[in-house]
Amino acid sequence: MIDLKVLTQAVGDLDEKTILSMINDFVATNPSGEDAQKVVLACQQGMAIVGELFETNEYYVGDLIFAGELLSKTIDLLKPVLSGVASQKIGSIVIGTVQGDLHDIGKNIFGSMAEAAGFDVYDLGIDVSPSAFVEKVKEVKPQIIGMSGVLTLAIDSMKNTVKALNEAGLRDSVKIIIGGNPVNEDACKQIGADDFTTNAAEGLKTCQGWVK
Amino acid sequence: MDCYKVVFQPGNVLVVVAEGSTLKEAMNDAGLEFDFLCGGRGTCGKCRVKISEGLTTPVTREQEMLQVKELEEGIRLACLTTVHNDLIVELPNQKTLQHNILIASDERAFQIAPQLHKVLIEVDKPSRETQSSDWRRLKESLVKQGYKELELESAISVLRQMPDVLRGANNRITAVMYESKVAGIEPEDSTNTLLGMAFDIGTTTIVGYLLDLYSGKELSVVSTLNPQTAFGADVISRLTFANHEENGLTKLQGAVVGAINKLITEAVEKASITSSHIYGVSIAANTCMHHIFLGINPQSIAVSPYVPALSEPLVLDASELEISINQAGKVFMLPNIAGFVGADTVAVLLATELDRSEDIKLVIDIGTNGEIALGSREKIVACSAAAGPAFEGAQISSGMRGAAGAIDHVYYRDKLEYSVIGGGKPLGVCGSALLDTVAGLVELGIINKRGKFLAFEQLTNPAARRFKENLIQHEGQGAFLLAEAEITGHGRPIMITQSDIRELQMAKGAMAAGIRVLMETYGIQAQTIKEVLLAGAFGNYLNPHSACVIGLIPPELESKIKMIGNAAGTGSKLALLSANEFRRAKDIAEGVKFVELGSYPKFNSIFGECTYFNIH
Repeated sequence: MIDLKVLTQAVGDLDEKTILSMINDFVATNPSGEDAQKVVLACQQGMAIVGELFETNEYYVGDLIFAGELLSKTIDLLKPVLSGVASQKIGSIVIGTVQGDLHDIGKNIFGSMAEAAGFDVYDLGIDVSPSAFVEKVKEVKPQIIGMSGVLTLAIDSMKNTVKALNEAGLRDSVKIIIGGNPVNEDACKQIGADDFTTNAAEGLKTCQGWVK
Repeated sequence: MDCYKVVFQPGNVLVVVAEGSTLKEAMNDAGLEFDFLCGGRGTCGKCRVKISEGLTTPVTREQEMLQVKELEEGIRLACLTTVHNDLIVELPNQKTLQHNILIASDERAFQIAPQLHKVLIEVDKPSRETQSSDWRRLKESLVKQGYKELELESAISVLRQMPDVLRGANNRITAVMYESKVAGIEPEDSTNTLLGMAFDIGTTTIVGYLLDLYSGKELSVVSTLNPQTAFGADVISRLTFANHEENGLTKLQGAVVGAINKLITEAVEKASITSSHIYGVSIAANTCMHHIFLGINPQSIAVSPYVPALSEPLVLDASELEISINQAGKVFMLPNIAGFVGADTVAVLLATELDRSEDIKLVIDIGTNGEIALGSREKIVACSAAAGPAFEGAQISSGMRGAAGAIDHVYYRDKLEYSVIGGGKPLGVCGSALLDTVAGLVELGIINKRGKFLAFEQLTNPAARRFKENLIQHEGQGAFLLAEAEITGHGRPIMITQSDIRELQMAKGAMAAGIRVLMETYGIQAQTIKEVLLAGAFGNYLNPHSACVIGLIPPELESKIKMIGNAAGTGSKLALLSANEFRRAKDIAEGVKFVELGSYPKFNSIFGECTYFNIH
C-alpha cells in the first residue's frame, strides 16, 4: 500500500509527477477495491488542502483549474480497480452552465471540488436548457442544483430554469445554488435560488451544509 | 489629382499626399510633431530636413536661406518644399518624433478614390422644341460625363430641389454621385469641397477624423467619451440596458448619434467649414456599438452562439440615421466578423494589411475588450478575450484611465521611480503602470508564480530588498506601495494590492490564452510570428518588456513588438477615402476565421496555465 499521507500532500501541492507515479504504481499492484477507495479518500483530502490554500490566497484560479484536471486524471486511472465498489456519497448535485452561456471554468472547478468532497456530481455541461435541468432532476433526484453563468444575461436563464422546476413541481425537492460573475444577493432573490456564490470553495461549503 | 508617397525617417513613417503639398503639410498628415518656429511661413529657415531620395531643385527662398553646401547635401526647408514625386525625408530631431511615430506609423500607401464624388455639369436649358424635362436633361449631361442613362437614379430629396437649383444656378450645377445615383445637387461649381468624416466608435471613446476626400488630408481630429458609458461601462452592461430598460435601445442609440453629431459640429468648427460640405461618414465600431448605432437589438451577441444580427457592410443615407451632414450624405458601415470581433477589428486588419502580408503577424487591439488576430495573406484567425477592464484601470484599487494624474510608467531603479501623466501629483495608476509594477515584482521575485506576495524574509533576490519600504500590508494581504498618502493628489496612498494582481492575472491570462489558442488553430509556434502589432490606446502606451515579463505577450516576441496607434481609426479613414478599401474590408471580414474561445476544447486548462507568472 502506498503512503496515503504522502499522496494527500502531493495533491495539496499539485505535484502532478508524484501523484501520477504513485497512482500508477498502486494500480499495478492490482489492489482491492477497498484499498482503492482509501486512495480516493486520500486524494479528496488533498483537494480539501487545495481549497484551503485558495481561501488563504496562496492558490489562485489557475491552481484550481489544474487541481480539477489532476483529480479527474487520477480518478480515471483508478477506475479499473474501483469498479464494483460501492462508494459512499454524501449527496448528489446536478450542475450546468445555463442556457445562452458557454463559460464553464467556474462550474468545472466547483464540479471537481464537489466530487472530491464526496458528492455525486452530474454535470450537464454548457448552454443547458431549463428542460434539460428538469429532466435530469427527475431522473437522478439530487438534493442540490448548481447553476452557473458568466454573462449578465445568464440571470434570465437562471430565472427561467427555476420557473421550469416550479412548473414541474420539483422546486421544493431541491436546494438551488447559483454561481458566477453576475450573481449577487439581489439576483439570487429575483431568480428564486436558495444561495449564491462567486467562489467555488465557498459554494461547496454551502452545499456541504445543506446535506449535513 | 496625383498623389505621392513621402517617407519620413527615422521611423519609416509613410504618408500619401496630393501633388503640391508642402512637407509641412505632409508631416501634419502623418501626425508628426515638428517645431516650426515661425509657424511655417518660410521666414526663419529653421525647419531643415534632409531629402535623401527624390530631391528636386530648391525654391528661391531656400537658396537664400541655406548654404550651398547644405543645398548640395539635400537639405531643404520643410515649409517651402513641395511634393512633386515620391520622397524620402530625414528629420533631424529624433526626440520630438519618438512619441508620434507610434501614432503615425500606421499610415500606409493607398489610392484615394472615394465612393462619393462630385461632377460639374452644364445642363441644357429647357426648350420649346424638345419639351425635355429637368431630370431628363440633367441625366443627359451626366451621360456626357460617362454615366449610363439607364443606370442613373435619384433620391426624392434631389428631385424636389432640382427645379430651383437648376434655374437659380443658370443650369450650371454640381452633382454629388454615389455609384450611379445622384445623391445631391448643388448650384454652381462646388467640386473643390468634398469632405468626409471617419469614425471609430469604441465602447469607451469615440474618435472622428475630418477628411478632405480628394487629398486624404486630415482637417481636424475630435474625440469624446462615449456617452453610453452612463448606461454601463462595458458591452455586456449596454446589452443588458438595451433589453431590460424601457426604450433602452433608443436611449443608447440616441446617445451615440448625439455624440457623433456633436463631434461633427466640433470638427467643422475647428476646420472653419460647414457640415453641409460633409458627404460621407464611415463607421468602424465593435459589433455591439455597430448594432446600437443602427438601432438594431444586439441581444443575440450576448447569448450563445453569440452571432450578430448583421455582419455585412452597409451604405445608408445619413438622413435616415439622423446624422447631421449634407442631406445627400451617405454613411458607410464597415462589416463585422462575429459577435465579439467587430468592424473595429476589420478596420485594424485593413490598416495593417494583414490580408496581404507575406509574414505571419499577430495583431492585438486591447480596448475594453481584447481582440486578437493572427495570420498572413494565407489565412487569418481571430478571437476575442474579455480582458479590458483591468487594463483600463477598472477593478483595480488605485486604478484610473490614462488621463492627467495617472502614473503611467514605473521604474525599479535604486529606488522606485515613476512618471505621471501631466507631471503633477499622482492620482492613481493606469493600465501601463499596472503592467510595469507587476512586471517588476515578477522580475525581482517579490511575487511567486501564482501571483502571491512573498513575505520579506522569503525574498531571495538581493535587488528586491531595496524596495522593503514599498512592501506593505493592506487589508491583511501583501501590497506594493507606489506613492505614500502625503505625496498624492488626493491624500490617499497609491498601491498595487494582492487583488489587483489577481485581476491582472485574469486579464492577462485571458489574452495570453487567446494568443495560444490562435497559434494552435493556425498551427504555428510563437517563433514563426514575424511581428506583433499593438493597436489601441493601451497597446500604444504599454511597455513591451513589461507585457512580455508578465506573459501577456509571449516573451520570445518581445523584440518584434510594434505599436501602431489607433489602427481602427486608420482603417475607418481608408474605407472612407477609397471604394476599393471599403470593398476590401468586406473580403477581410468574410475571410477571417473566428475562433470562439469558450468552446475551444482545451481553453480552460490553457487559461489556467496562462494565469501563472514565469518566475526565473
